Amino acid sequence: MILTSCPECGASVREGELFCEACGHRLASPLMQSDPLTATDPVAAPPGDGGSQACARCGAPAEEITEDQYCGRCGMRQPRHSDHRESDLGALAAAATDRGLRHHRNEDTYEIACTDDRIVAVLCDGVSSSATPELASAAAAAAALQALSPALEGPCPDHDTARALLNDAIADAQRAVAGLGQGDGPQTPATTVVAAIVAEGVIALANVGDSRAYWLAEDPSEISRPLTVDDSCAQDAIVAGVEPEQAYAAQDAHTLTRWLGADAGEIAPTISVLENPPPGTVLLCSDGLWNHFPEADQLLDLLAGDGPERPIAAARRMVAAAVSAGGEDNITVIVIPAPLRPHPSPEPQEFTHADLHP
Amino acid sequence: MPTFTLECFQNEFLPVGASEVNAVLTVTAAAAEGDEARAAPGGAAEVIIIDTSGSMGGAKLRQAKQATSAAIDCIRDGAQFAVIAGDHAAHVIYPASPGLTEANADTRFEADRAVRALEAAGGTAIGAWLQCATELLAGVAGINHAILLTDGKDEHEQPADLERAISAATGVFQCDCRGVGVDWTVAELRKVATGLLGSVDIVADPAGLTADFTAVIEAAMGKQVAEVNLRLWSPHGSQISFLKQVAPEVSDLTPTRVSVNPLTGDYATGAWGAESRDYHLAIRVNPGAVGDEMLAGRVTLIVDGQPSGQGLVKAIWTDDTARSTKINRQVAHYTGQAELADAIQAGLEARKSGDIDTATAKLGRAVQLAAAAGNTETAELLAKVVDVQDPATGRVKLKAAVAEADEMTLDTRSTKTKRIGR
Repeated sequence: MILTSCPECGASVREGELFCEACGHRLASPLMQSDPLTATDPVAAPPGDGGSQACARCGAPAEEITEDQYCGRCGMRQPRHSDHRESDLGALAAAATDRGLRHHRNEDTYEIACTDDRIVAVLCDGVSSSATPELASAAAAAAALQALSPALEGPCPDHDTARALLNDAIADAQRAVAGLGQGDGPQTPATTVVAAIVAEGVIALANVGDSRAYWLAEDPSEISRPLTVDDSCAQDAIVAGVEPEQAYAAQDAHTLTRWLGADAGEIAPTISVLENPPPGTVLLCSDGLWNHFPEADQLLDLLAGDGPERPIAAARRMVAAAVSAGGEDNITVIVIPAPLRPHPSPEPQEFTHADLHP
Repeated sequence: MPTFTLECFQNEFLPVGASEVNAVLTVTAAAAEGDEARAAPGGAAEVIIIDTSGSMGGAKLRQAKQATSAAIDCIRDGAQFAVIAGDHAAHVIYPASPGLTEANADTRFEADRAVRALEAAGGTAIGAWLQCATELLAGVAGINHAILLTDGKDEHEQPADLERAISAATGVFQCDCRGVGVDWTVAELRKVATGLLGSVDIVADPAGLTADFTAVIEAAMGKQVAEVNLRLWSPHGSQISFLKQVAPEVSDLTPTRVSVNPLTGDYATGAWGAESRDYHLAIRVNPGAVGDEMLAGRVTLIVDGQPSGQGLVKAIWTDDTARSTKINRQVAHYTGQAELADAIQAGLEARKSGDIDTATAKLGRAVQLAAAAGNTETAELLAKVVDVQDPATGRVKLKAAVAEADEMTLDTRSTKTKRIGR
């Protein structure tokens, strides 16, 4: 779907706009773009949060926006950088995250780093019912990325090295979140995590909570499937023999049975390694995507062949699809085609809400 | 100078369609090291107003004179002061020269002698007394305070005269009011105290006056900051439902708003020493959509003209009922305490006018609220007016005979609140 007019006020809107210029209405499907790469030329110096822009809601002039990013006229919080963020690593990989439509801020965080023959990626989804979930996910993702960075140096990590690094990464992430303490809210800050190392012949994954990894096979005759198992009540029910449909309809379906946080206890991540898989795409995603599209085949459809060629197009299409489907939660995806397509000199490009709405 | 902090307690999550945002703001002024004995930078001025109408004759005037002498003793060296004797007019009995005088051993002694010479005669015109104090204190920089003692009704002037005098005195000085005996009117003195940011209390037994006066003057001398305002911004299209001080006692600040600009208003809170007060703010806003985050109010503390700390009152609309239905303890507590004060005042009013059913219902509700909040002081005062059958359900029976002093004590102290444990 490509919007041509704002559903709120009827003003015409350009493709790719996140907000209506006229009334500030948040556009439900901002990410469908005919040519996303040209639409997102990075601006020279990214403006500060909100920057010198008029109020996204009421259009009050930029000088009405307070230092803490509320409109001095209508009071609305201005869009945060974290509301929408993308990383385009060319043919190697791409990541995108979006606030969705129902949550007031984005509590998901991703981190991704690469050389021209390997990638490390982390995706965390802060637990909404906890205090400061956005800090929990950010702390965990940063700590895990740091622990995974040795994978980008020296010889390509083998099966055992990848496993050991992931183990350390989850342990460091856990320490980082636990370091946030009990928090001043009702519950201890907590987050999920899914982390990946993708290198020559090795795809290694670790997860705690319900952020997932999928394998989406390039050859339609091969099987596409989840690579991780959720730590959730629904998953426990399924293991106990309950039909998946019934298990996900239960009140506590999304209640986590394991998480990162000061109250998480001993954390032993589930680690799995794929060796020399056939061509395909590794997809990491938060439940904001898979709640709407739980089946690997649905996700494969959204990939629409863009995995190997243009991961950023696939990442944007998935986020936009989840937003269009209701955007019930924050949505984050990381798309990594495998085997990796060597890139002459991967210059990761980062885009935030402000870049996409100059 | 004390250090001010402002804390905000609320559940910012609102269900879809909700428009009322509630928050409790705690303002604390912590004494700086060595502040104890230091007077305010701008100095302090104190005016003691003592009722010398005919009804004060005998023991009452004797005790009032003693209390006034004790109060004069508490005025610090260097502070400015004066003493007014009030009947159907106001008389500055000290100093003899026009205006205030500086307190020292000599002037305190002379003032004491002037007080001892007072005799009871004439009527009561509280507005005229306030007018006189306003003339003395107008234009005096620093912390200006008065204490007013009376035993009677404001009989020798029109209610409009008193109203006028209160508004003329607003912003010039703060006034604590004390009623001695049972012949004065609670509502009348409450009007003065509320208007002039002071307290009102009953001194049923004149023997208690000296201790009470001493405490009031010492508190006044302990103030270190002359003027603290709460500056409230709220968004276009919003309405302030109310801003009430809720601890240490309930006092509605809503009507005292002074507009700064169309979206911002100031609420005066008077002079501050090392102390802490709570405020309950309720704002009505245009409801947002799910996922919207709005700043519903920005409260800035203005201490002697300087911004010193702020609190953000937010509204975030969510369809997560687990979040939107969470009750904030502070807000719930003070909602109950304000209802308690209202129930007592309405109950006593109904009792006076012979409406037994309303009186029983209101005072019963008050008993229930006081019990639930653990407000034992108020519960004890209520028990002197009603027979409590079950505090949990608020089942009470009006007492057939109630001492007037007990009823007036309950009325004057109905606004005293208990703070929530944190």
